[in-house]
Amino acid sequence: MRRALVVGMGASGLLAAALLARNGWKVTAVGRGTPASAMSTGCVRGNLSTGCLKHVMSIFQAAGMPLVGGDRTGATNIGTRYDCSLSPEPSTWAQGERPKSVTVLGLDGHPSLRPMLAASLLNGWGHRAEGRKMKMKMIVPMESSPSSFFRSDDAIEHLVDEVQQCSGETVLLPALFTLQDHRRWNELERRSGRKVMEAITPLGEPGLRFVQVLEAGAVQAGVELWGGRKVTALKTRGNNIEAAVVQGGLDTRSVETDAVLMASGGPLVDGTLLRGTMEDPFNTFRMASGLTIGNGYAHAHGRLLAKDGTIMENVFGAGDCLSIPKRKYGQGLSQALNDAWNVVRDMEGV
Amino acid sequence: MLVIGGGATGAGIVRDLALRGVDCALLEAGDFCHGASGGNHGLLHSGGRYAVKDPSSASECAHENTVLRRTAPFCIEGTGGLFVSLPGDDDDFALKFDNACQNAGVKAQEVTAKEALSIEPGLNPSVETCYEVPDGSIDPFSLVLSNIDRAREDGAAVMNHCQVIAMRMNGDRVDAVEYLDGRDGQKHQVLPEVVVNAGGAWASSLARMAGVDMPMALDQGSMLVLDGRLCEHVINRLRPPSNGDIAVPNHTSTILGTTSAPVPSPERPTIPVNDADLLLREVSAMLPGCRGARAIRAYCGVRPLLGGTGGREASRSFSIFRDERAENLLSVAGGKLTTYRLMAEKVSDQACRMLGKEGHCRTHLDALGLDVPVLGKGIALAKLHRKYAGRALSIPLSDQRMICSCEQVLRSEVQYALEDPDVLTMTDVMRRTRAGLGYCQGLDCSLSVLEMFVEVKGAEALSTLSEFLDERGKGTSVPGEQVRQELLRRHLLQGVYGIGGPKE
Repeated sequence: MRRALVVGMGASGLLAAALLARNGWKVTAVGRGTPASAMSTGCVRGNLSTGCLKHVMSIFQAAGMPLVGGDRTGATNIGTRYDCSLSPEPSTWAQGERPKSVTVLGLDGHPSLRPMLAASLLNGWGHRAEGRKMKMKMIVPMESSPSSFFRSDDAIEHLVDEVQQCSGETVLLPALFTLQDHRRWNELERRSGRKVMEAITPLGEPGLRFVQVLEAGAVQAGVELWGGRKVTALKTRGNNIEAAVVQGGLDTRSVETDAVLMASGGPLVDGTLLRGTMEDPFNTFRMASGLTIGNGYAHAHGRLLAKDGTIMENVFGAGDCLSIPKRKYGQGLSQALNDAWNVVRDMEGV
Repeated sequence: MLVIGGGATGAGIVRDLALRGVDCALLEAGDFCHGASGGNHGLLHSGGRYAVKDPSSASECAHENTVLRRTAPFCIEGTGGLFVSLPGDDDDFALKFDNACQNAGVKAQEVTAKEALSIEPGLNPSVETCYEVPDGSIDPFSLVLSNIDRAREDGAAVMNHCQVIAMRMNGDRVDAVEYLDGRDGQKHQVLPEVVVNAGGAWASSLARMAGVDMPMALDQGSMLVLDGRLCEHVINRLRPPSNGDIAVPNHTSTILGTTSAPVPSPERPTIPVNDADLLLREVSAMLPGCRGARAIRAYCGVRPLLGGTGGREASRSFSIFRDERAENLLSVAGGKLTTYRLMAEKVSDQACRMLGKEGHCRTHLDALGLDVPVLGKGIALAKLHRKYAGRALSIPLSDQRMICSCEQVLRSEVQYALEDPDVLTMTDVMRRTRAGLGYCQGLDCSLSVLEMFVEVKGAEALSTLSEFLDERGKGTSVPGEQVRQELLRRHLLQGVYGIGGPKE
């Protein structure tokens, strides 16, 4: 059985790990913290290749949070317009289905959705919108997610009541539900008899749900997930990596592997580039120069390069950790997923 | 009497005149303190910094230091200061420093390196000669605003966001001053008997409106803000004034200063890329802890210096110009925050003589406000008092939820600021409440403040926000961890929300 070590538990690492495991690899995935995809909006803006799209949609379907694709538009949690190609069903509308009037129903003073600001901006791009502050029995502290305040049946009852009092044809709500509670959207729509939409929200539930779905997919495919751990040393022979030391808390172990997939995210985002000469075992790989968001590992044919510029034979890369000159904001998630889909094919040749 | 300029000098003058019972008004083009009065390191000079090179400025500072501690205790932290020399620094300078301080009346007390290290454990252990001086840190905004509040109580008309655009001459007198009011976008006119030009870095362009040339040099100084207070005292390098020789603990941060470079214009100064590195390197020699600290932002101010030469050689003293081509126009140039009251006194004396009015200065006697009540009223109120001085008690504490967690700003404070007729923009809110000044640089609170702004003022959201981002964007390229913060900010604003132009 071929063994793979996947470094990074964000969108590209988790998707690739699951695909490899399905193909019969013994996969270990290591991740040390919150991946950028968990802070994203959980919506994909770039285009996915046909096979990748089909696969991603099937994973989300199986996890109980179906995605919708195509030319979709939604409203962010401050009321700006957000175009994407893939999103959870309640977050966006298709072309020509844009809501006629919107009530933005948010929690007073909470950053999850700013109702008055969002209404003002929605009006700015041609919606008929009004803002409304939800009445709450207790204040949701601004630093906590509202999801834990909307788990009980009582809370849903109250929410149905609030939604029914809105005058808009569509009601825009904050991202209130975790993955487990996502079915509540349907319940809310059914019971209130209204069209209810979830605001496009970064740094909140949607990103967490997105990563959780991919995690569940990886676990089901048989991937061994080691969260909260990092690779502290590599054992190389020539341009091959034979084993890695993985450390987390008091637990240190050596993992032997036939191939390594680097899916460790943007080196500027995680600070590696800023710290420069940190004792990072991945300093063995060549990195493109410059302090830009497009910086990352130099690569050729899906493989990373050694410091001397030769190709590492069994080290592959996917997602934000790769150097992409002129990287644009908003292309990170589609890039990560497409890369994962493609790199698995490269790895099959090892 | 019309005063132009709402920095420390202008605010001090209008307060002084109002106390003497003079009918006066003040026009400020932007918000109060938006020039050098806001762009400095918030240092209450003991005079030590100028003792060797500029003894007259030093003794002015030494005198005003004691006056301000008495009359404006609420905005001053008596941190005390240290002058320290490091191996390799010129020993002769220490000797000169001691003599010069004595001659200028600066209370400098030599302490051993051991004593200095015991009161300031963060110092480089190899410091050599050390002097203790009565430096302090001062909140310029609070100081200026309390001057304005007191002046208004005494009947002065003070307006910000009113830009003077022309002066109409009648022979050798300024007959009328025309200004553009940011509230209604209309031109208005004042017909003053005497005009005081306290425009700071803009003083010479104001004087030119009356056909007067002012010999002035503009000199830019950059500063770097580090998160957290890394020293107890103001720490100065005991050497001839040069780049990066001071650290001032102020509010929640430490401010490293400064650099000196001539600039042609006070408008939108840009901060040289290497300034932040230079300040960090130089100050770290005295305070090694700075090296590991998180730099939040760099900012700069433009000093209006006397004479045509400028730079470190120019005197930090001030002078009052009067030109025969405009005999009722007094222009003030030079000076510094610590001596603002003295400048105001001299200008007011002369202006009163021109008006033929009797009256004596009282600003060294009448306090601007009371000291911060440290005990008894609770920490929350003490904090508000430090920020708002006399206004603290009028802030209703009905909504004590935090809107800016970096700077611990309450929603009530923002609400209060929004009800102030002086507040027209989001940066006006920021200056008054400090929301957005912390290490996240307004990532989250700017949107919350924006929402309250839209709600209370009915303003257009995008243009309101872009004014704020524009102002904040002036100085955010700092080395180290803050790059990641900036990256997150851009991802969020440009990437997710589509606000702001494409930048790398």
